[in-house]
Amino acid sequence: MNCQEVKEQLDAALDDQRVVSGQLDVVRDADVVAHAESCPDCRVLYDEYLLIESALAVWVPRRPAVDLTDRVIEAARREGLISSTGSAVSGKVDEVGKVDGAVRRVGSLTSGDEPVFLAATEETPAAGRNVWPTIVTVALVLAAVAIVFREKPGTIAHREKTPQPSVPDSPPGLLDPRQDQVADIGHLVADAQSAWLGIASRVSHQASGFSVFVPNLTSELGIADVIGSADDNSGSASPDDDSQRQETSQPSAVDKAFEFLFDKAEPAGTLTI
Amino acid sequence: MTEDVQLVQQCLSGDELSMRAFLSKYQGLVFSICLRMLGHREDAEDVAQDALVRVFRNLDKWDQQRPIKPWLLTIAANRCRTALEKRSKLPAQNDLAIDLAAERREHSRHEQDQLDIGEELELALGELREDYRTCFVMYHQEELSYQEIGEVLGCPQGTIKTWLHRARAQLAKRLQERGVVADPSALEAT
Repeated sequence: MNCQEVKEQLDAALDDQRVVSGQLDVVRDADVVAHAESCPDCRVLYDEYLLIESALAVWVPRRPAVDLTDRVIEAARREGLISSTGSAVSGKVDEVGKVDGAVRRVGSLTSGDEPVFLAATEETPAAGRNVWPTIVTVALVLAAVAIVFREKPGTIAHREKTPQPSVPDSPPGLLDPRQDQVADIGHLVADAQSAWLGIASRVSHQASGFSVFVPNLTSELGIADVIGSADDNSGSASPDDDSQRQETSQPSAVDKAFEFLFDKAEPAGTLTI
Repeated sequence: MTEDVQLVQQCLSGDELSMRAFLSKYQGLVFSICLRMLGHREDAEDVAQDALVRVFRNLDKWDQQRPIKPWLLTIAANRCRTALEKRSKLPAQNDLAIDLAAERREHSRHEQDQLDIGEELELALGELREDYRTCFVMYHQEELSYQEIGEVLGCPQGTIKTWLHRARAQLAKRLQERGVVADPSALEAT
């Protein structure tokens, strides 16, 4: 074996050693070793070979971390390389190209505008836990109100179902009979509000972070005063008050509340429920 | 249809999601070779960004019958050579080598013993001529063939062979100068 053959063998052995594949083919050929021991030049080559091979065996090639994704995407978008209808991803994409994270295109603006994308970690106002407890609560409250109106004795619905004893017309000067009904409704609404509060507190207890809005229904309906006046004026209304109410062209609180409750499908002041 | 071909076709349609997946898969490769060739992190980031945008711009020119890696590295190497021509002089020290030197001090004694020779190789690489270093990394790290490296760097295979041999010889000399000796146990372990 001559020096050129030794050199070629050593190079070929290193060629076969790839870091990733982890191949290793140490030259242990007796002829190469024997030549290297007798030839100073080849001895140097052989020592270098052993050193490089030993280093490659433990070398961990560095691939420094870098994230140029947003920069490149932005530059590509400026050049028109990204379709305007393309979807966006907000999560990380792993090394094999799989998407880790939700893809959420939340909507497009007018034509010509770029679509609006939200990060997967962001919560839209209408998303998730903030809405469903509210919907459930409202549904339960409405159901409770409906049940109360249907079943509670003394309510208007109950009275309509049950035959009412004939009552002589109230003498003039007494309290407007509708005021009693409105007061009755006011109490029912107050009861419904209490029921709502109980249901809502249970729901909110189970849905952490959910705040319950409990409106003052009697105030919203504008019948708190009616309830109070009905309580205060029961049996003590003066003829003067009644005649005064009949004479005025302005609708009374009772009128407004009564109209509000029974004659309007969509009241002007929409209830916040 | 290979995974790369499918991904590239989706990128060609302008799908941002696919382009992000493509970047996630290949930006490390492109940036790594840029950093090896330029030896300066910020320059490498700028050139890698430029190269990747060029990749998207020219994806339709990639021959889908051939592996994409050499094609990507060719674009990156071309951009690096252009950047090197503009640069009046090379940086005094390689950023990657500086990072490794700092990192090395943090290793425990035991880990340092185990990784010494590999880290010494990395440090020595930073001191090599740029074309030798690039050739060595493309061959031993990226596992490109002589022919592929020749195409990437625009050189005949004979030149690549010579550069690789010289790179190994110079690395060995630098390791010897640092007092690094061959570790027989490392060879046996593999």
